[in-house]
Amino acid sequence: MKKMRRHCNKKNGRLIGLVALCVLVVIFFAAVIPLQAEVQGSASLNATSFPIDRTAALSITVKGTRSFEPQMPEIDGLQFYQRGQSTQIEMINGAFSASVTSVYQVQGLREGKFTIPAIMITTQDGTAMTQPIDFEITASQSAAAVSPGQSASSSRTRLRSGEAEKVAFMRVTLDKEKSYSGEIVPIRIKAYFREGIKTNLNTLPQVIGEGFVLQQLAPEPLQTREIVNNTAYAVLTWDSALSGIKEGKHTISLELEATLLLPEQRRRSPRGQSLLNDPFLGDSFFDNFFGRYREKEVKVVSPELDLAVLSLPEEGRPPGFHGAIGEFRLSVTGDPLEVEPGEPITLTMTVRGRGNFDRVQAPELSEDTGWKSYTPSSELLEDGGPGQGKKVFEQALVARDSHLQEIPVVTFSYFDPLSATYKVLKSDPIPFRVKGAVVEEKKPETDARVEQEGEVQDQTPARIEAPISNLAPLKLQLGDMGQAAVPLFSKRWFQVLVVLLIVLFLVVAVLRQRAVYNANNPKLQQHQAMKHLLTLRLKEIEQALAGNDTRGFLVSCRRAIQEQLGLLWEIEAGAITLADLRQRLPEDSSLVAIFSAAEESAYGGQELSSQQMQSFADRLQKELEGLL
Amino acid sequence: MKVHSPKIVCAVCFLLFLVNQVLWAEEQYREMQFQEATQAYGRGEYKVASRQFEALVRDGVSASLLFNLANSYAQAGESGRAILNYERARRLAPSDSDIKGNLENVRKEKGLFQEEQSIDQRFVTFLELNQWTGLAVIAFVLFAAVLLLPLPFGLTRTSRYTAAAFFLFLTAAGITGSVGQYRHWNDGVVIIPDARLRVSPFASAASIGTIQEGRLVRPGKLHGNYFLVEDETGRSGWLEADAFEPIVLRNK
Repeated sequence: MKKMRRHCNKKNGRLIGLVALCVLVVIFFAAVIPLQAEVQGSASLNATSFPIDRTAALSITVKGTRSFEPQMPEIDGLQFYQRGQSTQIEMINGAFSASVTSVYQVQGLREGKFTIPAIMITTQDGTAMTQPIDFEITASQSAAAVSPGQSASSSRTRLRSGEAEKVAFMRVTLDKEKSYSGEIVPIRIKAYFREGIKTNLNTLPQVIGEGFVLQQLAPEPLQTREIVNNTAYAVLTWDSALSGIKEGKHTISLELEATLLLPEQRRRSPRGQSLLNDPFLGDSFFDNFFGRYREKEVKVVSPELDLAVLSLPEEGRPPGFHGAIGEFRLSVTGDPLEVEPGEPITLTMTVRGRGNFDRVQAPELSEDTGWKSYTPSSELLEDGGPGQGKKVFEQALVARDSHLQEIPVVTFSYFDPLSATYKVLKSDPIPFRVKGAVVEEKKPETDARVEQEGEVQDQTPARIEAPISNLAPLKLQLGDMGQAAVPLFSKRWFQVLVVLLIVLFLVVAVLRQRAVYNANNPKLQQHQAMKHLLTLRLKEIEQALAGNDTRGFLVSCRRAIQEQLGLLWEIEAGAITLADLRQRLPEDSSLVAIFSAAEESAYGGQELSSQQMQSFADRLQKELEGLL
Repeated sequence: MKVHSPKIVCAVCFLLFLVNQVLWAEEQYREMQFQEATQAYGRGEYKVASRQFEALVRDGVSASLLFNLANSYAQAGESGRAILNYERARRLAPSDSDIKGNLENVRKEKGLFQEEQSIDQRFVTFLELNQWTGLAVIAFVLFAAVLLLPLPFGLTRTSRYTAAAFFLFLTAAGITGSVGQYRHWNDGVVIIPDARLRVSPFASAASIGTIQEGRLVRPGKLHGNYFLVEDETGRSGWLEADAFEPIVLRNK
């Protein structure tokens, strides 16, 4: 066993040694073996244009070395602050390569066009040059957001795309340039806010202009980040639908109101000696942290788009058309399909697809003779984007004619804007059975229909509200007039009654529980018995004392002692003798003396004075009460 | 004092007599109106009958009055108000089979078929609210009596505890039924045809669908003039306050 363990330990030791060797080799290759690629340098700026109150990040990357110290050029109007350096080592097909990236923050001191010249990088592995970078420093953002003639603090600026794209702008995409009146046209609204500017939306985008209805927009739009012209923007996107309600050519644009929190640029000392001009403290983070913000309410307006709203063609309009425009499908089910006479069948008709569901009305039975139909209920379930989903109609149908064998065809009409034609969807007839009905041989369809129509005309005046015949008649007595029904538990008397009942229940329960507890507690019972007997004997003693009956007094004393000690020692009271008392009680106990006196009196006729009797009585009471 | 006492007694008696006469006259007038409305119903003038019964409801209600009013509305084609008043009458006289029967007939006639009830729904609707409450109290009293009073002759401890458990179960059932019924105490009935359920509490909000006249709805929170309601089929949405009326008649 020991041998085996030693063998295992030896094996593990070898394995660990091998792993350690591999690690050392990797480290050796990474650190010692010359890097195979030659030294290459590159530089990039994250923005080609940025305002004077912002900074840009300059990254200088050198491949083929693990460390370098670039010599940053001195450029009038620019300052560079180093922000960190990172090293990356890669091994591809056994070849190691390393690259080091140094990040600098570029702060502009004035507006204008600048060029960062080629930077020479000298490393222990060689030298490299970066390429020059051209960029522009523009005016402060806050200045860009405000029109020249407007107050900078309180006026509401209207930002139209193209005017102030550096701060915020809006883009609207419509899927179509022409639509039919009432047709749902998907619309995508994107609001761009320059990243880093805190923005509060005061309104959701709203349509400017008449003749359009924009569906309710989601209060929480999709939030993304996009780079536009090398500038990062926070983008809010709403996908919704628009429908034209007024025919003709319209121009549409959207606007939204927002409050921008624009940072106020701190003044820097020209000599650069202020504490806040320290390269570290001059960071934009500290600008944001310590700097003040100014609220600016703006209206962001989208570019104008043209949309022509056409009227629906009159030609080919089916009779059951109620204004549904789009692309729909129809499915119909019935349940139950085996019914008792007079039992309703629930017809579930689902219209699904894309279109103006608010205009979608319940499909209709192509043939309703022999049927009593009820007003359908409807439920719209939107799914998959604006204007997409399904509308479910439930209609109760009762077969008046027990010979009917199928639920007739259900039709639904809509206008298809793609083909610019009206379409009629038809379901298949659904077979069903009325229980107990005799199935007759099917006559030729035309004959049957004629017959049914005749029958129905004779039977009922179709859907006119007729008095209900099977109602129980009116009551002829007015009855006791009172107030409206009130819940019993809200009536005061009932509440009092319930409270009293609960209190009574609790009291009785507590008393009962106490009695049960006492009955099941032997110590308590013993205590009560001792107390009871002591009270009796003390009464006897008092009577004997009053009658100056020495014999009776001592007998009562003796009995009292025997009873109390008997209960305490759990032995028969009469069996307790003076010897027991002397054995179990202390020698100076009064009880021994009293018991002894009682025995002497019983056998020797000893008499006691009333003073002695009183003294005995007091001591006895004290001693015995002490036992309780 | 002696001189004035008989006069005061006489005045009080006269006043009591007058009050009694006024009350009697009022009762007679109500009875007369009730009979007139009943006759109008008999003649097929259901709208007139419903108006007259409705006028009587303003002074107080009885199960008979609400039942007749509901019948008048049902025959006049106002199924929503008919169902509303049957429901109100049912709360005053839960065991009246005429009310239950007519309510079912009107519902059936108007296509207001109720979905099959689950077991717990059937249990809750087995009794009315006050019946459940009464059952709970009586069962509790019996539970306490069986448990706390001395055992009657011949009864064992086992039978005492069995009886106590039974009454405790009845108490729990009564409380459960009461709670279940009270959840529907403030339900309302849709009284206009094709009321629209909306996704938001605004007239311009998109419609989820229509809700049939006569459908029971459970109102929740209120926003402006719209209640968030849930109907018998479990659909919920915002319904205009005027589109339904609560079954509970507010006491004047």
